[in-house]
Amino acid sequence: MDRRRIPGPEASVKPIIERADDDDTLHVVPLKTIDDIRQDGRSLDKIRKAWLAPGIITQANGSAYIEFQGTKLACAVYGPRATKISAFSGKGSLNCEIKFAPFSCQKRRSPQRDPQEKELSQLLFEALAPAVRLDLLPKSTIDVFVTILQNDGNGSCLAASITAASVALADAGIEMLDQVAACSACYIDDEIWIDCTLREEEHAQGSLVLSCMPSLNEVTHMLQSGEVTVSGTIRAIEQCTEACSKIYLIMGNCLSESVRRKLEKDNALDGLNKKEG
Amino acid sequence: MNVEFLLPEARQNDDDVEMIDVSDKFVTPGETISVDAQYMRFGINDITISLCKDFKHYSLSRSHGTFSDEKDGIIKSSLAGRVEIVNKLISVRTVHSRYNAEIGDLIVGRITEVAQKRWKVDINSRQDAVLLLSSINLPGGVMRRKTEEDELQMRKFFSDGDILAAEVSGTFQDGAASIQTRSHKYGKLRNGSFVSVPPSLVQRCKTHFHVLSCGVDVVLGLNGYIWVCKHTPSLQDVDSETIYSHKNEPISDATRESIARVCNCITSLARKFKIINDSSITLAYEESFETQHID
Repeated sequence: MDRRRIPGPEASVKPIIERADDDDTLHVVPLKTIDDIRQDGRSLDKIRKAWLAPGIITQANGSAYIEFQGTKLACAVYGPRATKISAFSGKGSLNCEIKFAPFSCQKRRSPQRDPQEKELSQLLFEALAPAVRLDLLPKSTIDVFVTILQNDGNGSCLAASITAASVALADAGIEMLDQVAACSACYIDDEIWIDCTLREEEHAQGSLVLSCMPSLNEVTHMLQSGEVTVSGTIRAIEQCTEACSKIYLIMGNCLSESVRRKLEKDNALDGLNKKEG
Repeated sequence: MNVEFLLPEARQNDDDVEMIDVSDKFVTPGETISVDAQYMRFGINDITISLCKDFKHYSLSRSHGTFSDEKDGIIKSSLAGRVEIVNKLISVRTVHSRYNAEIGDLIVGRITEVAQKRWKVDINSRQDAVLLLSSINLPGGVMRRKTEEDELQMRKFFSDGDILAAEVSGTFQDGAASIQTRSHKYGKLRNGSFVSVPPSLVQRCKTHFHVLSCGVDVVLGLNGYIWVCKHTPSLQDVDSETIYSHKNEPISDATRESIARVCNCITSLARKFKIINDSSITLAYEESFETQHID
């Protein structure tokens, strides 16, 4: 067979693409109304509706699924397991990997690892590492894999990855100082927009992703881009911290709920007691 | 000389101090367990953590799920799980952690690597366990000493992928365990099927070798690895050559079916997060005949 030629059918029909009527008007629709209500009905300082579920991937040691309306991703944690490289290390190592599913973005992502994924993986590691008790796990490795299923905002993807990974780590029974909650914000026309969608991001002059440990009151990681004033940044950090504590509440609730469900299902609780004795 | 006197203060009655019961509470990492100074934590070591140039001092416990800030002494959780209090000692127990080896535990493991004078065994723990050549029963008498020849033919005893039952004989600082099979009860497993469940579901019992009424043997490893196999009468009078045999014995169709059924019962018990022991498996096994087949 001739591989250089495209083996398509002899006769082909042009696909019929229906143009949406409001295709041209889409750009005219403003991002928000006069009284600061965004297109999806929330105000500038509100996060999107979130849904979080730990323990959905049964093969993994810990896992979590998170949804911020359009942004959807799953995270799986494997380990701690023995590091295969023989070099001794007194601290455990944390491997993070973020992967966009081919269908996750408006344009198809190639299954190969691209620079953006590499950068996001590094950022995820930087945000999580201060919280995880790696000093307790010598010669061990923890693997964190995030698969982005739908991308509605690059900043929110990173923030949701950090949040989901931290829940998955807790689900895997790995010791942490605190859970890391993360939130993204965009600077649009001297205003701060929390948790932006992809469309809102197109109009942004700058962006901020803040991850923090709310109960210890510590920031683990901050990523800022664009040209912004100092006062704007300070304001954004404050608003992000506030949003983070809201996300933290959701994380805590769903985690303790999943533990309770597991333990109270039957005699599992008694079993744990007996194991003690 | 200046002497300072203080007026007597109203002393707080001990009965007035409210004791908050925190046991059986569900906590998540970072959540405050107790502000009460009366509680203690397991084996404490202090570390300083730097975050954003601001140095903070924390006092941390070793893998018992708690830590506290040096300044205020508030005890916080570092795990997601249930709080357990024994006298004044606080710990947090998780549902989904990996297996923590304790001396005397019966475990089922799989050989991952053959190394110098030792095997590496996967036991669902943080680190692979170590099985020394000197801690197995060599064929040809219990009292036989190991020779250089044994070292060269280690793969004849256990090779990669083999499954074995063993006892934990010691643990190391890094979470690794050393195991031994110096008893006729332990050793290579064959004629059966392997099931993996969460380690917290397997109870510590007097015996972990069970013979079910359906003619199937079950080895319940405390690490969550379970071996279901055809019933073997007694291991004691088996000759030394067959201990390390790779070959399965002929297994009848009926036995194969019951092994498969018991495996499925264990998997479904684990899925519903129920305790796994011989009685729960037997009950599930009997119940499985009642349910309808859906093809």
